[in-house]
Amino acid sequence: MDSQALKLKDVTYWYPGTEKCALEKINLEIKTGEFVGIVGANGAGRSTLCYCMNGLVPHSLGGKMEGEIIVHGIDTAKSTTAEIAQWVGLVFSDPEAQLTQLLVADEVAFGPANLGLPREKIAQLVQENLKLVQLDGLEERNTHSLSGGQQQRLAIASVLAMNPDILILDEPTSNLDPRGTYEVFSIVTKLNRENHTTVVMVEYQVDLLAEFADRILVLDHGNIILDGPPGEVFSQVDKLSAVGVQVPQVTKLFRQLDHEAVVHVDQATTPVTVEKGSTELAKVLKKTVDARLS
Amino acid sequence: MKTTLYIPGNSILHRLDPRTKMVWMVCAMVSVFILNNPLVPLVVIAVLVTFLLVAVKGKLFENALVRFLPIVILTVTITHGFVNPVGITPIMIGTSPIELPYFGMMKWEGLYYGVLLALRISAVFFASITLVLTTTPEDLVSAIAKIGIPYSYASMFGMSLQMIPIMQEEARIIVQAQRARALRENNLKEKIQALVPLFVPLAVGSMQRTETTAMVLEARAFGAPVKRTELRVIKFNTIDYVLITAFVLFIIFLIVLRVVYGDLSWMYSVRSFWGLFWPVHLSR
Repeated sequence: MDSQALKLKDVTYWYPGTEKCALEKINLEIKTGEFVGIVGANGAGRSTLCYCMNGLVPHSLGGKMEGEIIVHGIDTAKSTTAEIAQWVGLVFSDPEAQLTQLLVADEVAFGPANLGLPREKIAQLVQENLKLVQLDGLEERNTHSLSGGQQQRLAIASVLAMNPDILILDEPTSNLDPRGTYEVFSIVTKLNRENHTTVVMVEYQVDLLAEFADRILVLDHGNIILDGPPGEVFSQVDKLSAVGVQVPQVTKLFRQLDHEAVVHVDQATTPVTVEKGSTELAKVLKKTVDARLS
Repeated sequence: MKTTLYIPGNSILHRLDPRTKMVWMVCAMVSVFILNNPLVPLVVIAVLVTFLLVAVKGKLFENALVRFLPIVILTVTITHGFVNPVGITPIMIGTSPIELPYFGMMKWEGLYYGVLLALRISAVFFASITLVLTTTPEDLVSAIAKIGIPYSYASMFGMSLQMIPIMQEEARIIVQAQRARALRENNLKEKIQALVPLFVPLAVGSMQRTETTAMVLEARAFGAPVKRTELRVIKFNTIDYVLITAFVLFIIFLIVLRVVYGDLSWMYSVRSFWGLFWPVHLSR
């Protein structure tokens, strides 16, 4: 296996019955072990891009696709989603619609069972992954008696139980409170760091993406308009707000300070995480205080 | 929210293999139709209800279908009493027959047939409800898969069960949203009219959901080219063999009776209410 997890070459995709393409000539390479965040306004093609990565486009969704998608060294056009699911896990954005079983434990066991893992191994995976998302003790509960946040965490556990090499998450924290959101990010980051799982995550929580992701893609009307490390991408405040993407609040603060000529911050070095922001702010304050004293 | 008819417990019925209960269901259905004798369904009902009462106790009567059963029994019995063409002897109260315009008089033979049919329906009903009240839906799905029906069909059954509460919840939300915007439902006509704007979003919503679910299944490797692991161990125990043997022997016994003594019906000699259930004239 080379170090390339995913490759999209000139991918253009039209949903069935539409004139306008949802994705336009997407060229994208994701390396094994990368943590990629995808941001963009509603309808920018974020979910569609996710569906490309496990073969749902074009197999299940129909429509017309041009170009080539290579996942885990396999051309998705020549394989089925069920086969690709052995390596690629996808967490959908609608928590309720992705529950397929009646009981919580069965839900987590469903994927591994489809992969034909031995029963003892599955029982162990169920325990581990429910514990990971803090749903242990709810094994025998009915899946739809769970709250929205619990359902979302269950969906994540169900995908993690399949041990994917590439983990794709489409707005996995939309129903979670700040703490739950932070936990999902830590779980995913841990997998990314320790198991070298490739992570692709669609999120609107840009502050957290700035902190955890290695690379940010910005989508607009089916095109990747920005691609780079969080610092590089999020500092382009004007460009991002033009396409309806939020920027981390720290970044916003510094750009505002710069704009009002309080401090001078280069666009390229604008902090995007709270940690960097506070160091930077301390520096600025110290400078001001020193200037006053002298 | 309650999603299925299953009542949790740990009785003999709960611990039986679901397949035993399926066999049991089929045997009960067959047995009540072998003879034209109301005692057979009565015995079957007595056995089943005893087991059920031990298994789920008073909760049996909380089941909507069980509550509905007396209405079915009465309707079937009375209808057959009046209209079944086997009827000859009118039922007399004092010197006057029970008579309805257009339908004529209630007859003993028709009533006998009605009682027999109602008891048969009840027996089949209790046999089926034994299966669904005491088997978890998950076990039911595994059992259906295990008797040779492809897993994709079996799981389809399980997933459609799951759609029920989701649809209920969705319908509730839609109705509330519409009521919040002054949906008129003052009289019956308006109530019926209010169902139309409910149906469209419900149908569209469930179609979209089904599409997503299909994608989810694929994304979780449903239908991957490997042999699926069976998660639930379903196997026959001694008690399963004993009960299956008992019911099969019962059926053989009934068939022997049928061959040797005929259908054992006393339809034409019923003259009293208790005579419907017991051959009074023979015991005299």
